[in-house]
Amino acid sequence: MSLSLVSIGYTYGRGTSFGMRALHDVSLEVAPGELVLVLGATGSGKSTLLRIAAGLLRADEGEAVLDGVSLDRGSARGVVGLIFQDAESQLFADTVLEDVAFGPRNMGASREEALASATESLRAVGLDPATFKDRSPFSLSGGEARRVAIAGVLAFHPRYLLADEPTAGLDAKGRRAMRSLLLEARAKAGVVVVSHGAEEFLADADRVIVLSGGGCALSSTPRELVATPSMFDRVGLRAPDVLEVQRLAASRRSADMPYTLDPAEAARSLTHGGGQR
Amino acid sequence: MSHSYTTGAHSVPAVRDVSLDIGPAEYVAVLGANGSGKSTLVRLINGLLLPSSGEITVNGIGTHDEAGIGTIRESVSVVFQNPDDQIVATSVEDDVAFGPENLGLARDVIRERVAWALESVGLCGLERREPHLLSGGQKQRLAIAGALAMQPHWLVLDEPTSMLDPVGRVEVLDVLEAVADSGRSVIHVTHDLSEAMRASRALVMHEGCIVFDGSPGDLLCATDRLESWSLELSPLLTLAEELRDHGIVVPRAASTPAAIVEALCR
Repeated sequence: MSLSLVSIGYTYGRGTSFGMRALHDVSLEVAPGELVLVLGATGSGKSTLLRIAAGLLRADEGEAVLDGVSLDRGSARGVVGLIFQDAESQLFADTVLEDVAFGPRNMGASREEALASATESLRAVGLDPATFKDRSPFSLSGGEARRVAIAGVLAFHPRYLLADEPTAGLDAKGRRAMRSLLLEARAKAGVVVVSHGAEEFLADADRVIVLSGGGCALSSTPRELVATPSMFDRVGLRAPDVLEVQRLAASRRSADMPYTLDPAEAARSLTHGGGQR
Repeated sequence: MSHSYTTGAHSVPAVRDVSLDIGPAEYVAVLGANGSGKSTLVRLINGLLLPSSGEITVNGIGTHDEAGIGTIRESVSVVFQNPDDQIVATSVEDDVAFGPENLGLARDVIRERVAWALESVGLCGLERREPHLLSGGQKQRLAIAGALAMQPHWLVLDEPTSMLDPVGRVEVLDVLEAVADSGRSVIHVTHDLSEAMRASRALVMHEGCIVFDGSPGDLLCATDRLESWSLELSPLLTLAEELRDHGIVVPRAASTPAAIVEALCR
């Protein structure tokens, strides 16, 4: 079982004079139990890739396969869950509970099943159902609204979960909650996280893909990427700050050190060993 | 002042009994969890919302004073999170000119203001560019230029970097610092402690109240309370703390990798 995109290409406004090629020759594979991180600057094609993986856009080059069948809007329905970047702007119902239950209801669950599943999903995203279920989705703070939107996706138990910048705009607690939520989701689903910053999910990812100008600039493992921070520059990204400090220090001291994302470990190797002046 | 949002039977207090004075030429970072009342505070400051109780005055004019609200909006310019939501024109220069044009200023005054605003945010040379062809960081700097063209006394920004990639983020932060250095007040709402380190004053909101008002450096010392306010040291600030534990003197103001390496290699 896997969601597999092979040498995908996509052009917006294909065949018109406004045609804009957003993706070319990009591959992505994720199986339940895996987390794949897709990095890239604004405009690198990340969101287009997610829309194709969710069956919302049909790739015009390459092959898209979902658990052995052709990936399209129909086969993706109820199997692939997509959390948009501004997830909270998708809320629409009168109450939080109705909003979250909409997905499962639409997939054919009975009202009771849908409400039970919605209640459970609210709990999973850290919102107490008793407090939140009857509130209007439009009276929530940004972070709460984001979590309600995600509960709406979790409620239909997707086998693949795609998240576009899931932590943008969230506070520290919200980001931590979101991170553990997606890591937990990995137990049952294949998770793809798209982000423009590497700091948050790099340590947990099974694989990393970096997009640049619509193409695949790098397909690697987090371990490899951390070990060679210059790779970030080569693909037009900023290295995480902690790596950047180690790299700058190493070049000032002309000494190499084992790179790490962990601040405590980095402090140890920067102060002891790891190259003296 | 206080403010509650009311929908049906629910009334949610968003800002509770807050008193606050922000002077000229201050760079104030407003921190706090999602839902702590930061955005409500921003909307109260320029009269987009009126307080349920208490009052807000800008240069002596109350936001409840309908005759004065125009003057207030001229002296308080707000930039929101999503640059796409606040771009109105089809070219960069027209977009920046939109505000001053609405003030009915003379053509050459408008032209001067547009040129100055674009220079302030580093977008010179892109005057004729269509805004949708700009990068995220450029778009947000365009929104800031539009706000600056009103020559406000206070520039208020509600999480201006949260939708930007790391490169765009640094571009915007550098612009804010330059605006503050030029003598205007900047009120910068953010979740991010390392962004707040650039400010001269930090406010923390928690459940609608202001629970900290002091220097950003002192805020870092309140380690035990940061957690309960849902603030967190970034990996970089954590690294700086760890280095201090190892006896390295790292200035509180060091909030970039280069500044920390400078301290390390001294």
